[in-house]
Amino acid sequence: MISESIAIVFNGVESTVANALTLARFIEEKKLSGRFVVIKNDEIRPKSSWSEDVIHSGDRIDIVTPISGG
Amino acid sequence: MQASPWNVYGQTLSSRLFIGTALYPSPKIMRAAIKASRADVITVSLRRQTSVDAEGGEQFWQMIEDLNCHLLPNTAGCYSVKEAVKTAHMARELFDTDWIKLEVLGDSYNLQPDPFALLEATKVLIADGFKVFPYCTDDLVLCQRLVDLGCQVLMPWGAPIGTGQGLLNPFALKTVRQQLPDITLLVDAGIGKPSDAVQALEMGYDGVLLNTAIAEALEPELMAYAFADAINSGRLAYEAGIMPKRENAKPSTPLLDQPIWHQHG
Repeated sequence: MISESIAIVFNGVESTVANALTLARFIEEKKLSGRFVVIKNDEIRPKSSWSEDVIHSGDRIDIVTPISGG
Repeated sequence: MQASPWNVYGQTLSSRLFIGTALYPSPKIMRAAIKASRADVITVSLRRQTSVDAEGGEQFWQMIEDLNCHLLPNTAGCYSVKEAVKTAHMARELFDTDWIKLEVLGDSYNLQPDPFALLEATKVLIADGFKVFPYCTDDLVLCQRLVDLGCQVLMPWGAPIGTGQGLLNPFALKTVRQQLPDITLLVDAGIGKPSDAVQALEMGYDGVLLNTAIAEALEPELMAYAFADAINSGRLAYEAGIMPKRENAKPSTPLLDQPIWHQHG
């Protein structure tokens, strides 16, 4: 039986998402906007790949954003 | 009078001050200070989002977006080649620039660059197409090795980050300037007051990068004005040609036909 939801780690927190969700859909559901970079399993996922990139169980997704720096 | 524009990795800049965006009492003061500084380049960083401050990144971006400054992302907090290279790649994706202020630290007490890891990370990033601004020590051999790898810009420290100690080893900095006359040099870290920046510019350094000296001044915006004028003056002085020091006194008033005649001998 195919599970309807899978467990992932999002921004360091354990979460569940729908099975076979793409990164693009995930970002849409999270209402992420503005300037950010998606890191999936320690790899940068460019925007061009989001609609094809399917999230799997156990994936780690982090969002990187700008901050002040010296 | 404004000092002449200069070129960094193909980008023409009018200000010789690179300014950081951290440590200000408030975002409003940060913006005011950056505008007062007349800097063309601001340093920024990046972090992984947390659920506690999910909006923080976008808020910061909106604060700096309309300043119309060139962005110089840094690899602050990286202690290994792997960390620094990964951070640089994330920075390029996030800020859409090949410029990277490369920090690979070797010690958490004085935040000194790790020279060995810095060389290794520089080699990787130049091969990956980055325009590297290495935060380095004032060691001439390290600087030469960075140039050999292809760096057109070097950023030796004046003193440890955030200490405000000024130029602790001007002899070493002068040596680097003299031995690498064709490389763009900025003193990065340790500057505490405008006269420190003037010292660097008068020495022939092309610019300075600072953050704490402005952000932690009692009045950051006013201090930014002071640094802007000082850095411009330092550069004009260098371009004007500073008089040489002498051992013996030389009168500035002509002695011929003095009103009171002194008989000597």
